[in-house]
Amino acid sequence: MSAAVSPEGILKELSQLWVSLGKEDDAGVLRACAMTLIMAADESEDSAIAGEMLAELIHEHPSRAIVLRVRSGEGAALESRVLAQCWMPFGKRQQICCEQVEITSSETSLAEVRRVLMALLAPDLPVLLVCRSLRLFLLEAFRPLIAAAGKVIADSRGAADPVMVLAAIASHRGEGRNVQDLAWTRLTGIRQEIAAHFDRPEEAARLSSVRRVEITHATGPVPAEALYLAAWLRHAAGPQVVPSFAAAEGPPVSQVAFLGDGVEIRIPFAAAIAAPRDCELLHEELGLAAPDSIYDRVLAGALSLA
Amino acid sequence: MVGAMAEASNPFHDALRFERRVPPCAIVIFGANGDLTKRKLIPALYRLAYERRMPSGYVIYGNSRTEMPDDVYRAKMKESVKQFLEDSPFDEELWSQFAQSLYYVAGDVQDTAFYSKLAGRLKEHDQKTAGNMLFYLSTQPSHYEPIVGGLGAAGLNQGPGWRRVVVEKPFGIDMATAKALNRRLQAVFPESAIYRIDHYLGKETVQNVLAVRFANGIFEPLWNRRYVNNVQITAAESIGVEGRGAYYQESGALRDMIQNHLLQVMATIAMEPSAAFEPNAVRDERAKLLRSIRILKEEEIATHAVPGQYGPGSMGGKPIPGFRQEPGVNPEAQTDTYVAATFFIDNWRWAGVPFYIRTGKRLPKRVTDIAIQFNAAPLSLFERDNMGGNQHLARPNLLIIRVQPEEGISLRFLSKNPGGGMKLRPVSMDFNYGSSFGVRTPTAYETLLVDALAGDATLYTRQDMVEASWAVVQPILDYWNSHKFEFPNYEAGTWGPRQSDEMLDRRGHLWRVP
Repeated sequence: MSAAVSPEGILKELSQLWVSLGKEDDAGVLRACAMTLIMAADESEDSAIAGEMLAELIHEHPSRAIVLRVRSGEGAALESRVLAQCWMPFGKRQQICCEQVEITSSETSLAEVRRVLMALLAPDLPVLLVCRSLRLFLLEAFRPLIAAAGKVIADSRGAADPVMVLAAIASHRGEGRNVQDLAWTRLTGIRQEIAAHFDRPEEAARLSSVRRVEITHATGPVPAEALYLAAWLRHAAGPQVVPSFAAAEGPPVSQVAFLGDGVEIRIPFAAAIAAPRDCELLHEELGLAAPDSIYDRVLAGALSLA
Repeated sequence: MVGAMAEASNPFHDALRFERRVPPCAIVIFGANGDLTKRKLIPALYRLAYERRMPSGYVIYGNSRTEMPDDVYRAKMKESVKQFLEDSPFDEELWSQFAQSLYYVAGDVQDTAFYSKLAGRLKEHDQKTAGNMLFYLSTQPSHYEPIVGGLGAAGLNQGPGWRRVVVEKPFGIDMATAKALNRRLQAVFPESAIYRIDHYLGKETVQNVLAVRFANGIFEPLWNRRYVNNVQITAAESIGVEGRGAYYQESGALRDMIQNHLLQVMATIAMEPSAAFEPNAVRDERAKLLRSIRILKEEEIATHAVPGQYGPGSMGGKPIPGFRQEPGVNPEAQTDTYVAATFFIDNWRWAGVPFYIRTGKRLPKRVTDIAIQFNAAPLSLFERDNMGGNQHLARPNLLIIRVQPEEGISLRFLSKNPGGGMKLRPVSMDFNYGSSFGVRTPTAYETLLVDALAGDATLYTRQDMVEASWAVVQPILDYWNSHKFEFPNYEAGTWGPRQSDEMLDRRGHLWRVP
């Protein structure tokens, strides 16, 4: 671990890393990189979590990964180290490797972090920033890092005030930044089940009689997932549909009921659909390049419902 | 109907994020004991189940004549999946679940009573499959007609639910039989329900040709007669006929590879962009291109199409028998195990650009690629030989689309050698599917089966496409059938007969070494 961090030093270490990897294996290794993936987290988060997520993500999204760990408070020095994540595809004899840089900094050094990051971005490839800490996402000093990424993935799950997070996302999107919320991504499986239900002509015919949707969410304040789902159902089914919320133990959203004159359709969601793993959600977001226009409308709708 | 139409009218549908849904259905495979079923179809369906891409409700029925209980068939298919599953681990637990949906129904496809029995068995699963049915003809072509006729007579060609039929090549053995087959199929199923499978079109790299051409701005401006000097399509196999000598001697490389796979690849390379990425829009453009291929006149065939047949040779130090020495092959067979042909496309984009296609068995290695050779720079500033000639003209820019075994794209261009002087050397800029995407690419059959189940015929061939490619190939077949060739004319383990090199040499071109 080096005390002083210079981008040139990190790039040199990366070069040396590839030389040594090439010598380790008779078949050589395949260096893979399709994006720069920055993963920002609080220093207090177990460092293994980011590493394990990246190890899984690189299979489909090979990248130059930069793990940024930020501690609260002051401290000028940045620290860094470089490593490689490698895996052997089934049935192949050559490992595929991606490089990873870990940088530790304090909040007060975020401006310096940005300078270093700018020099470390893989040339001409997309830059994605996964922000695993809501504290960082809402930090004023973090905004320049958000502005540097082509796509930013935050997660409003567990926010004490989900509406504030949604408002921050809306503010970024209003300024033309592609900021996504994993709480919205978490609903893809649920939305797909709802859509599949109404693929059946006899069920689709009942939709016009629906006047109310009731969303069962986890106990506590109405989570962002429930707000998004309510806004989406209204967006899709029409403004005559009034959303309501009910709380129960379980995942952020566990059931939706479509209610109206002579209509009662209840769609419960299995755990695997209601609570997908973070890696699955990131995989979905990293694979999406096109803008999500439905999300724009849903975000505005969710804020108006709150 | 549950499917593409329902998706379009469903207000909850999200095209950006939702995976394409495959509706519940029954899949019936005729030829359940055949090689294709064992090596490709069942492993592909198992892999789709592994990836959770099979519908929520499905059953698979295998049919052949041999009496066999479901469990015996399941055990046989399990062994096949274990043996032929490509780049995937075998999961015992998943197989148990998959096997519960796998059934066997014995019956003679010539016997009309069999189809009533089949209809009865399928009806038992209507609740699960919503009455949707996909019939896969994986039998010898002579069975296509009785199967389709039997399905029609038993009412299995009509709903409730959708009905589709997948037909394997060959689509006829010549133009007349292809037309007759089309008539018989269309007498029972509408054209929109007939899925003629050409597994080359399901290959990821062949699909990627469309992405490379039409999603990028840099290639299409060069993709025409002004910049392209010639196009070379190579589909080489190192193996011989592998016990299929009796079949192969009736078919030959022209029918087996060029009439279907390679003309479809050529159409993909050369077609105009379609107005939309929709099945009929894409297929219209492919068909238009196939109809634009110049039909060779009889007097042109000898100079534009070279047949070959391998003789004995050696590969890797091992002696290899010639085609005529293969089991089941007539010692005087006139079969083409190799074909090289020059085609021209009579349209404004490609007029005058030769498309060279070659395919063969017992060539030095297994490789399929497409090379777009660009015109040379008009003048070399840098390297001249001692007679003042342009040295770089012999090393043209090439864009190579590698279909197999290593999928990817390479661009070859000239670069300065390090050090003093302006010596140039060709270098290659490579894109490798493995390093950019890392993941296993689906097999062609996985892609095509999901497409057929979802009702997407983009990668399937249509009647007019089949007939247009027969129109290209038929005069060559007729000419070859009326001539006797001095076979064998290439040694196993070499790149084909001398006449093939001469065919290119006449236009100042060379086959590249893939």
